[in-house]
Amino acid sequence: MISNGWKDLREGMVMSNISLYRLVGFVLAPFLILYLFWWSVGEEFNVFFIQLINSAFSTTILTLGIATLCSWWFCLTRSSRINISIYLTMILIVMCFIFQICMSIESIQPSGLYSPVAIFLKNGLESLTISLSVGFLLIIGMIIVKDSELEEE
Amino acid sequence: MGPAALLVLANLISIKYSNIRKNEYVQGIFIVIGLSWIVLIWISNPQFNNTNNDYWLLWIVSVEIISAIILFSQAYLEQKTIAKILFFLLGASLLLLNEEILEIPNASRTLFIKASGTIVGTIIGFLSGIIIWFYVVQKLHSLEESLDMDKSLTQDERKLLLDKLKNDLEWLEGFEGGDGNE
Repeated sequence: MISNGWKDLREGMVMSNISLYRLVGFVLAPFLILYLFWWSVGEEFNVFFIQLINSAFSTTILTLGIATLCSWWFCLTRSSRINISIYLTMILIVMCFIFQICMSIESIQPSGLYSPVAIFLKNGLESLTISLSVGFLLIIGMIIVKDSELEEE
Repeated sequence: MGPAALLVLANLISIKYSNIRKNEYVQGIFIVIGLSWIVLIWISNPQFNNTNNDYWLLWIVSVEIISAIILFSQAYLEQKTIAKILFFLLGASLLLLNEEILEIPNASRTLFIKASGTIVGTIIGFLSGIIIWFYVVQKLHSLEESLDMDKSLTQDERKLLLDKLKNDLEWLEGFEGGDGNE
């Protein structure tokens, strides 16, 4: 289903003469210029990679946690098969274990935080803050798009 | 709460009073005031117990980054050159709000770098979580054995099936008769 959607998107873009790679390049170029300038000035970029690894781990665990809860809910109330819930729970436990091992490495620990639970909670809150900002922009975008559509009508 | 209330009001006006003329102007004013309010809060450097609120700063910087991405995409997709330049300049100005040389309060390169790392990490984490979830569900479904029909029925099964078919036929005949009586 996902691959079909991706294929449709690519076909649509080809038909409208839009290159996906150019679009990505065009969007990322100003960011890269800004980062290169900051890097040449001597700005530290360690925090970017630390934050990236921590957020990726925390969000994966959060998403899998929500998925596992949903599957248990479907299993207990809608008689869905139990093996999906058990597999997801096992993967979640393994992920938590890997996260615990990774977060004990000092070089990828955020400054001031030492225990994996504290790192997970802080990154979880930060990821939720980012999701809120995306939601906020979606609402604004919807209002503006609706306006322009009404004007066209 | 103030900017959020204004934006909700703008949305409500667009839904409830869509027939009234000049409705879009009122809505536009609410959106502009709401967004300006957010920028003013950011510039005024709000403090809680004499310290900056990290999450508030992260929120506003991530709003700036995501808005800049949307504006750059819009600039690429736009047909008119003037609109392209305008969207690009808007996006670039949003990015420059975090440049420390411009001496804007709260402008921080480290925070911008940290927020972009968090955004990329959150996207990667969310996608990998969804992929693991879908993969597990799909894999478990594919492991299921398909149902096989028996080649021949036993005497009991045959009798049971025929009885069932007979009962169904009788029920159908009775159903048609029932319709006729009514």
